[in-house]
Amino acid sequence: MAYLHTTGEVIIHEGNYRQFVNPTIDGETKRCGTVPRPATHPVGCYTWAPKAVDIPLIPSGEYAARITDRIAQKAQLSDIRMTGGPGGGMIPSRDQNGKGYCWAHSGVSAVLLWRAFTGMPYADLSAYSIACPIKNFADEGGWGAQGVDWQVKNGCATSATWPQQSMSRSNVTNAEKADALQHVVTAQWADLSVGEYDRKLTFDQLVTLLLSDCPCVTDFNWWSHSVCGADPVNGAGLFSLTRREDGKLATLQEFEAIWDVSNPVTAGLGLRIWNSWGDSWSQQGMGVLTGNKATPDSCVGLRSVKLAA
Amino acid sequence: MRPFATTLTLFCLIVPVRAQAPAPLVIDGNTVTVVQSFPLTVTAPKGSDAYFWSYPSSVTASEVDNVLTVKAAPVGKLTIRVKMLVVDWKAQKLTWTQGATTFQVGTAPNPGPGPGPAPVPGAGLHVLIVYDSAKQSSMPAAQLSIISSTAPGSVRDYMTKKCAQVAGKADWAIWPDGGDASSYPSAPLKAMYGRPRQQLPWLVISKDGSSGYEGPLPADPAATLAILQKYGG
Repeated sequence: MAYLHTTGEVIIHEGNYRQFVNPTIDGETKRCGTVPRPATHPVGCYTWAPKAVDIPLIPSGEYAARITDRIAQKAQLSDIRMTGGPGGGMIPSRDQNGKGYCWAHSGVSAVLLWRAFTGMPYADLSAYSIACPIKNFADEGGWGAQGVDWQVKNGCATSATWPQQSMSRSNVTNAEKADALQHVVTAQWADLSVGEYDRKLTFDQLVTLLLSDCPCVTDFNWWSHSVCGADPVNGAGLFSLTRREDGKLATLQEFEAIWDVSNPVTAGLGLRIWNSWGDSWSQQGMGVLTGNKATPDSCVGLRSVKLAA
Repeated sequence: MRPFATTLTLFCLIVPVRAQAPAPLVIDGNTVTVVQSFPLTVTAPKGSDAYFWSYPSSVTASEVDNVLTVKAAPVGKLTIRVKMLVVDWKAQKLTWTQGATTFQVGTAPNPGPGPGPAPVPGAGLHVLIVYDSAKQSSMPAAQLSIISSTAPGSVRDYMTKKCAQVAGKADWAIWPDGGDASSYPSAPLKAMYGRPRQQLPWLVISKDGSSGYEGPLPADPAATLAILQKYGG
């Protein structure tokens, strides 16, 4: 394992990723939950080259300076999270509670960050109100875009009408549906010309969106997991802050491997993600992916949400 | 009475003649050149052997010798510089000269805080920033930091401390244009969001229902805070 000295976040990279797939933490198995490629989407049918999504790109040459500036200004989505929760405090991490519902929680986490960015009051959104109806209350995997599409049509209920982690069918009421419709996603950055399983954004599009305060829903085949993308992390500038599990500073060779600085796509950039395994995972629920592990197999960005309480 | 009568007579004898060409007038004061559309050209004096243009990376431009054609640039203040090189081969001497021009892209910079045209009802301070979600990533970094920085002393920090409490939170918002705020719990913010906007991003301030401000969002946090402090102290 490796972690960032300054934040205490775990860094998940090519050399350690296996220990984060369905790990057992404090006696509880933390489930992932994106589904394996379904029969309707056999190997090879994934559109490898993302189609055009007209996001004006931030030049990659500006990434490092912008990230540095956002850290100094406390302007990252992870900073905004710290002010958007109850009473102006931290937004609690979602907790999928051992069920394979990560794909619904990732979109809800993205909505929570977006609401915090826009100054809307904290809403304790319950991702189970998305996953249960889609899966007919079965514990099944899904896909991030699937959860976001549900939020476009039906929204997401708060814990006032759908308690967190509840799988009771009695939660489905008119009041719950009306509550959910107050929290619909009204626009997303996504390639809507293809199916949910094929929606991709390039890594540059992902970084641009995160640098523009648009949280993203990211799915990873290597992890069978869907998480909320929050911040780009400039690993190349963190040599003196990257530590091994034993607390010692990483050697140059270890550092280059951890951040995969020669990766042709990420080039040393990492992706800070907001997981849905509660606040006790990593550092308040957030960790960093690097190299190939940071390149999502599916990605959609949050563009706007209904302006409501 | 005689001098006055003579002068009057002289004026009556003068036949007014319309000028054939406008007389050049010189404005001496705090002025700004506003560029309203593209392309535009910036021309340096001819006669140099080489021209080295420099401008921000956010500007799209092409250059041919002493003429720079700007095709696109973000709204705000823009400075373009050029270094010109003259080579005297006989004397084996290089002579550098340089020039710069600054202008405003979009609309004229806001003259500063002033009484707003239409404050909305509601006690205390209420602040709304409206942006174009399609162009969010095109906002200059300094302007983006207005809406995203949470550091002490930032615009968000100021608004959180100074704005009136409505529905359990400080009554400020940073919303994309074109949204549906019909069920939002703050009447002042809904009213401010419903007002017309000349451009984006846009800043609206209302204080005590008696004064306010609305205009383009300034280019950086300091200018934004200066306007906010005019109303919020």
